[in-house]
Amino acid sequence: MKKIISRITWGGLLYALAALPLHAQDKKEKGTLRLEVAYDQKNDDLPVIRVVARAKVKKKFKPVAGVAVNVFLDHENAEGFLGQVETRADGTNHVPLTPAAAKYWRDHHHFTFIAAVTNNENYEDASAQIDISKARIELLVNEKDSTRTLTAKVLAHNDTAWVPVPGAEVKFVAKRYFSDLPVGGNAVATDDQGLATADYKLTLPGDAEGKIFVAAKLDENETYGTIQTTVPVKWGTPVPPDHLFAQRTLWATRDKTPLWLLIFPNLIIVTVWGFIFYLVYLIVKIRNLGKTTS
Amino acid sequence: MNAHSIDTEKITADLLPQKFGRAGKIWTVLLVLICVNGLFAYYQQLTKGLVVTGMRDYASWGIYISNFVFFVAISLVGSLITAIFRLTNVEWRTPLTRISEIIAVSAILFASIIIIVDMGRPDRFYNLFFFARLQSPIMWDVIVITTYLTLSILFLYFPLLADLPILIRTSRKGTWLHKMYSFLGSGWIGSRAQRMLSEKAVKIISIMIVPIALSIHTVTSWLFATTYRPGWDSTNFGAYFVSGAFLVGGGGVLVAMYVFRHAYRLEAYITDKHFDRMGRIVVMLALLYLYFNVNEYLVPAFKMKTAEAHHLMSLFTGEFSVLFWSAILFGMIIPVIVLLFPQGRKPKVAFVMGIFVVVGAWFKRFLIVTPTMLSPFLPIYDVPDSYRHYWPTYDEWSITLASLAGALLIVTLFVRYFPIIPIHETIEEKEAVQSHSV
Repeated sequence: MKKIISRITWGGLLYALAALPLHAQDKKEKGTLRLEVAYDQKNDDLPVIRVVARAKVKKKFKPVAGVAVNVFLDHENAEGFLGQVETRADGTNHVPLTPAAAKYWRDHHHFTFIAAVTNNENYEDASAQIDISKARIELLVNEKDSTRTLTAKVLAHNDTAWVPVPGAEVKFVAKRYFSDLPVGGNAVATDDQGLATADYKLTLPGDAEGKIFVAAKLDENETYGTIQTTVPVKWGTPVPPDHLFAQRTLWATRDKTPLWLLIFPNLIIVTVWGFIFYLVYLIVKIRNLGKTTS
Repeated sequence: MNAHSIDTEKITADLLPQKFGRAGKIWTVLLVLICVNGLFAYYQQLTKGLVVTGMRDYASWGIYISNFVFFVAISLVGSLITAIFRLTNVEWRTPLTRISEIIAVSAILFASIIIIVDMGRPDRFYNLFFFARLQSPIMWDVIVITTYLTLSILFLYFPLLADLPILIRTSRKGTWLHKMYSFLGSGWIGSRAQRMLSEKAVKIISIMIVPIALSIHTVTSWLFATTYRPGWDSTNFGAYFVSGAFLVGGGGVLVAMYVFRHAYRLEAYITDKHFDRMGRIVVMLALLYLYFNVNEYLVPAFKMKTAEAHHLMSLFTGEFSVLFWSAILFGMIIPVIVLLFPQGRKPKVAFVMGIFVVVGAWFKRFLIVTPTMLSPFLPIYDVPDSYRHYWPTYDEWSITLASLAGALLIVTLFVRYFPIIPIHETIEEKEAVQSHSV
């Protein structure tokens, strides 16, 4: 009897120990999420709203993937709902404007974008918002006596007209494959006319005609968000296009098979199949011999 | 003279194809059922698409392709036993030639079928011929497989010619069997001129089939080696594949020898000596393949380049490690140790070792194909968890097993209607031995 009681006691103890982490897991505390919302607009097109989610891991905020973020325009309700996105591995994702929101954006000049996370399994509710005034950049390119300059004019809408924005930090860049290459050093502040100018002194490879793209941008401006205007210029070094696909190469289409690959394998194929047809001929000959003899 | 004629009749009676017994019927029905199940699974795949398989974006080559490589590998046995042994005048080869040739024909036939099964749109198969790009190694494979299949059928047919009059004579007139024998062997009367033509043809094929056989498996290896991926990016792949192919072929012959000897009581023809000799050959081939394996795995492991590490570790200690070490141990090391000893080359033990080699070789092909696909140079990122692993589905297993059963069914039916040991050649050999001893 003592043995049975002892076994039940030990069994119960082990079960309690095993169950302990499960209960501990049930009561797991939710993490704190830091949300950011940004406004990106290029070439007077419709803007996209960028959200970033970060959470504290080992005392550092790191990007979090898989967090569903709701994005709103002006009102955090069904009317202002722009969409829901799930953050990617780098913690970011984008929301385009819905057709209704696009119309609203065209008709208005001051907006509030709100990003919110609610009822997440792992994180407490979080939200962030950004107030934006509509602005645009006009980019002028000039080439005189081998001096090339870029002039940006930053304009903001004051509910009645577009007016110049003084003191805005404009960055001038050349567009490359993976990032923007700064033109003329640091950002340039606009003057009272809303103008900022930079000299272009780079030597960059362009397309066959030497075409490259240069841009002027306000980078995460507190009032206007990120705004960028890009224009093509023939300031690059012309690079003749690589027409290897049009030549006889291993990666070309079937009508451009390299000659050596056409000649030698086909010689082998014809020789081998020539022998095979000869063997079939031998079968016919053997049959005919048999028929003649019999 | 009387004793001689009795001997001839006995040999003919011993070697003539026999009707299936109870075991033969059960075996055949079983194979047919597996084939039907596979056909149904293929119907599912055709109607629903390749989504019914376990293959996804990363592991886009699964057991269909490893099965294809296995079939191509085992088919090389035809050139090893029939051609190389014939050219090197190995006198004990006669009872094994037809066995190895029918294995070669059935295997290469199903190699070409299983590759179509792996295609998402088999209805576009004809494009391979109408829009062939010679730059693609896949096209090279199509060409060499077609050539090897044709040559193998001819290699099976020419030596069969001399046996067909015996089959015509012993089959009942008017039956479909008699008609088939008559069609295949019509015209063969065994005249000197006919025999000379036949011998000439066999000699031509013997010489031709060796480079074709080597190229068929080398080209198959290039399907992998011309692709820049961990585990495949090797200049050694052709020789590695060919050596492995000869090994699995040798193992397959050991198994087939034992089964036919046992099922048809051919102890007087497939003797212990044949097992002893084939056992020695398998040891040599296993050691050769082991050598290439050491090269393929030890050298990259010594360097352990970051990009290769994931693949190598998945084989050595990761999710494929049990399969990998089992394939090395059972498919190579144990057969070498056992077959090194004369007792290990006795029929039953050699048969078991043959099974080890063949099964080990099948899984080895899987290990060559799939782990590499799951270890791309760019890390697998932002995909469903199922994309990170590969396990064949029921439909895939059904189709793969059906292809294996189909190949065995061809061998089974061939043995039912044709002598698995050449009758005429055996008689000639016995006569030559008798006249030599007199």
